[in-house]
Amino acid sequence: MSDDELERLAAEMKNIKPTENARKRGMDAAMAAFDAEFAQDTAQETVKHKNTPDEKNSQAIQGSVSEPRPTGQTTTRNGIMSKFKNMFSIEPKAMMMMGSCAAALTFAFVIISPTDLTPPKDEG
Amino acid sequence: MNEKDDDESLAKMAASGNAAAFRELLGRHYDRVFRVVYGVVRNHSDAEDVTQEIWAALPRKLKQWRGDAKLTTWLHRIALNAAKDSLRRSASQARTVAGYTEMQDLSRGETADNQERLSWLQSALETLSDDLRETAALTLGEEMNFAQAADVLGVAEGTIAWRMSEIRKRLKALASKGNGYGKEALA
Repeated sequence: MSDDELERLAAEMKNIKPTENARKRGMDAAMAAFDAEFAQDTAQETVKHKNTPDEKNSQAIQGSVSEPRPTGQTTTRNGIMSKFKNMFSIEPKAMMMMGSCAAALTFAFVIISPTDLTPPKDEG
Repeated sequence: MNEKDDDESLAKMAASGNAAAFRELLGRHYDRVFRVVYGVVRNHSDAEDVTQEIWAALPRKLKQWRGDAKLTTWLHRIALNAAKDSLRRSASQARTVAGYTEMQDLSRGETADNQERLSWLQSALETLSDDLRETAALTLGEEMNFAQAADVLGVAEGTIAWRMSEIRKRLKALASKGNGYGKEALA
């Protein structure tokens, strides 16, 4: 079988090429895409570099739901009100102990005291 | 940029942001990608558009290139997949009906000789099924051997050999109809 047609197809397929305009347009678009891709990376790298642990800068807009609000320092409660509040802040364990004691005292006064602790009446 | 740099080294440099390396790859392989795409879509203008899309998407894809295959193999796979996607999502197949190419070529100011050759190529490709066209694009257009084409297409070498024999048969039938317009006879 002669391969003339096959050779012709091969030659034509190798010969096919885009127009000069299309090639230039495509190459320009590709270089623009390349620049955009790596410019984005450079920008992200710069932001990453600036975000030292001390600064705690966030890329998200402050107050946005996606990330907590970035704060450099934790606010300390130095005012009188905060100290007053601290006085009444009780740990859960202590709260439970206090509750148990209160219940025991109530039981003692309400149930036990009317029968055993009432002084005897005078009978004369 | 050293012209002797191999494709894989250039791709690594480009993947790390070296614009000169990417430009060199563009210059070396732009037409190659176009040829492979044309082999599948069979329409000059569509092939130009798809090629442009492929290269515009390549900077991002390059970052994922692991370098475990030759760059040209990887490029051919991307080109073939993009061309097939293009065929699926557009009306390209409808636009490649007889007559469209001639009109397009005339509008581009092709010479009569070029028109005749393009028409023949168009007719020849139309006689082939999708699988055969992909195979022809790689083995005939890109001069790949069976093993290389099989690697790109993800099939056995024997499949490529069988497809080549089918291509021969179809072209032979096309020639027997004279002047390259025997598509109807093959249907």
